[in-house]
Amino acid sequence: MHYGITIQNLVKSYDNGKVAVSNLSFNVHPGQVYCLLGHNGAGKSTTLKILLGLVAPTSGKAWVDTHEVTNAPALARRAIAYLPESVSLYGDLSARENLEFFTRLAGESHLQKADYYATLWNAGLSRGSEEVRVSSFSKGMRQRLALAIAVSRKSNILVLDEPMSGLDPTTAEEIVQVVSRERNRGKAILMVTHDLNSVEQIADLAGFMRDGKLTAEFSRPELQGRDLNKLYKSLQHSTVAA
Amino acid sequence: MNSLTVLLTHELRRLFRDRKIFLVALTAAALVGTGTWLRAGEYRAASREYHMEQFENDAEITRTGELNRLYDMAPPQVPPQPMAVFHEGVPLVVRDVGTTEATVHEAAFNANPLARMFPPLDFTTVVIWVLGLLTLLMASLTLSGEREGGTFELLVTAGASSRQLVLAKWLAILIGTSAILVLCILTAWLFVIAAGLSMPHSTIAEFLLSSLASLLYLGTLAALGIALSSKSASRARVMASSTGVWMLISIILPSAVAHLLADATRTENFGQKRQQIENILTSEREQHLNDAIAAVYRHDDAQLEHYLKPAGYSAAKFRALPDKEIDQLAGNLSCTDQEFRSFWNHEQRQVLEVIQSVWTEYQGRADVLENQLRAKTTHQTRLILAATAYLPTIAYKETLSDILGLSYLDLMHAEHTQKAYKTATVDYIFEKARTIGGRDPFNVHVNLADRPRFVFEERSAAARWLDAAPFLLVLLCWTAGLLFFAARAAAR
Repeated sequence: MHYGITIQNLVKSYDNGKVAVSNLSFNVHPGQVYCLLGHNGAGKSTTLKILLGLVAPTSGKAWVDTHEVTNAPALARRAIAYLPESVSLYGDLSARENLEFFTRLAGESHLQKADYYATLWNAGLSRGSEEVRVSSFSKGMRQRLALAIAVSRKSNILVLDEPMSGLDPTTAEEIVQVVSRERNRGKAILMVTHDLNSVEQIADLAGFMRDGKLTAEFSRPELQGRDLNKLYKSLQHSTVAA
Repeated sequence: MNSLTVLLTHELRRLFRDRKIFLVALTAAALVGTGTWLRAGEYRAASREYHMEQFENDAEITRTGELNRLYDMAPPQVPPQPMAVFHEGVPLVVRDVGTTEATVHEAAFNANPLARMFPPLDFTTVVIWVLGLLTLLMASLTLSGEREGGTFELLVTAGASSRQLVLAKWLAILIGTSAILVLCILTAWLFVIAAGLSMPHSTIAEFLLSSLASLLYLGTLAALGIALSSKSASRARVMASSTGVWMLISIILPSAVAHLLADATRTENFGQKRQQIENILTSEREQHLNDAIAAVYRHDDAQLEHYLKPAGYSAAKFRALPDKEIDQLAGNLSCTDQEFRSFWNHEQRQVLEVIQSVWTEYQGRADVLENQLRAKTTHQTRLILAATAYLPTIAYKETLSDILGLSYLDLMHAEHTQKAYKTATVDYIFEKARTIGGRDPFNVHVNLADRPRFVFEERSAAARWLDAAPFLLVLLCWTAGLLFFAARAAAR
């Protein structure tokens, strides 16, 4: 039985011959944060799209919990709580209404207003902003709201796409705390990121992708004490394995 | 609560929270109301004029009694249609597609080329156009907006299937535009009631069916917009392509199809053409000529001699002609009976040619027609014309229409029917000449029941709807197909 995220020999190539993902394999176990790093075009987003069932793999398999994404894309998709890279959400609705909509859509209609407020506050949104229209939110507030939507799902899998992108250090720190809390609840978390600070803080495993391949994978003890900036740069220019 | 209900509630909440939609709805209703009020006034005036004219004609014929029905027949009128109160705005789709009559309208006889390019515009038509564009644009921003805003992935991971997503968005847009349409319809009826007009049941039914068809049309546009939206993640790009598609399907294609249909269905529109001939021949000139001819047959010697003088006859001499001298008159024209007949054949051909050339080249100017007739006919001919009611009076028009029968355009355009027409014309002229020779044309008692009337054969609403049925079915299939396509494309 598979739990968490399992990717085995995943390949995605296009008709023009371009290979976006090449023979990719890794696992994200429950209670683990897996940070996927790599330069732009390395194949990270394609990997996420395959997991979400938005792109079909050329070969290989991927499981989200017990659901294989090619055979049961809808079930696999529903098992994932997802935070997109840059999400503007519905600007004409308030933070609470956005959260309520996505929560109801996920099949949880028993929650009260107070529950929604608590979820928003836990995700770092300030009190008083719950009924404010999202169109007036800063990027950081939107990101916190999107994170609140993701963590409010009763899902064992959390997939985060660049959650720290463009955020100030304080907000990024708050988001790291929320992610850490979700890990402690036993969720399997896959986080695509360029933010090496957050990798240092919360990654249990970190995989480096280059040209569609996983060129290196480091466990938390292996990461500790290393200069991640230097390591990242060296991995971008070579195929050094840990 | 299932996903579809949650999605639909969400879409409706967002749609009706936007104040702009209320502004659009109120503006549309105000425009439709104004248009309906103005047209109701026109309809009332036309109805009043029609009934008054009918009454006066009957009274005049009853009073004079002796008038020959050929010479003083009042011009036939077409009663105004109640549906005209709504014009071709709300029922635009069905009226355009469901009737071939709509394919040839007055613009075809208008010298202004722009009028031939575009259908006549009024408030209601503009509202339907704008509502169509609004629907298409709203729909085109749905999936592309979700993709651009990054919420599409959130929706699908939250449990919404692409099919539910597409259906919810389509239903929400349809409900929004239906609300505006219903508001417009209610406003139109309120103004009809306020104007004191009573609509027959058939008109109400046709109006409601037309409105439903318009709704289907908007539904198809919504499906088209969503289908376009499913293939793009850029709102700006999909808005531009939607506007282009709207122009293509709302302006360019209908104009092209109308022109093609106008050519293809020429022979089917004789009723309308005949009415247009009537309009052409009913000019200011008509009254003058009518008075002149009426004067001739009311023993106005001066007028009669005006026509007879070129042939060397006086009015008295003309009136004194015994029956058999009608034939002698032909003899005076140096014609044998056979030659006389041939002469008439020739004359009638000329007349036909004149009518045709005026019809096609001058697009119906009665004075041009009359001048050409005068120029092409000799003074001897005019004498006979006077005797056979040939001059361009109202009676002439009735005579012409009697001769033309029901397929005027067939006669105009088909050789075999032209031949039949000429034969019928000649026979008719001779018959009239003999009638005048054998009876006193000035003392023929008019029997109102015997009065020839034009029968304007309009196609029934049911027949037009039957014609529109395949089109509506195609719209329905397109809507389903586009939604299916959008769901498939969104899932990728």
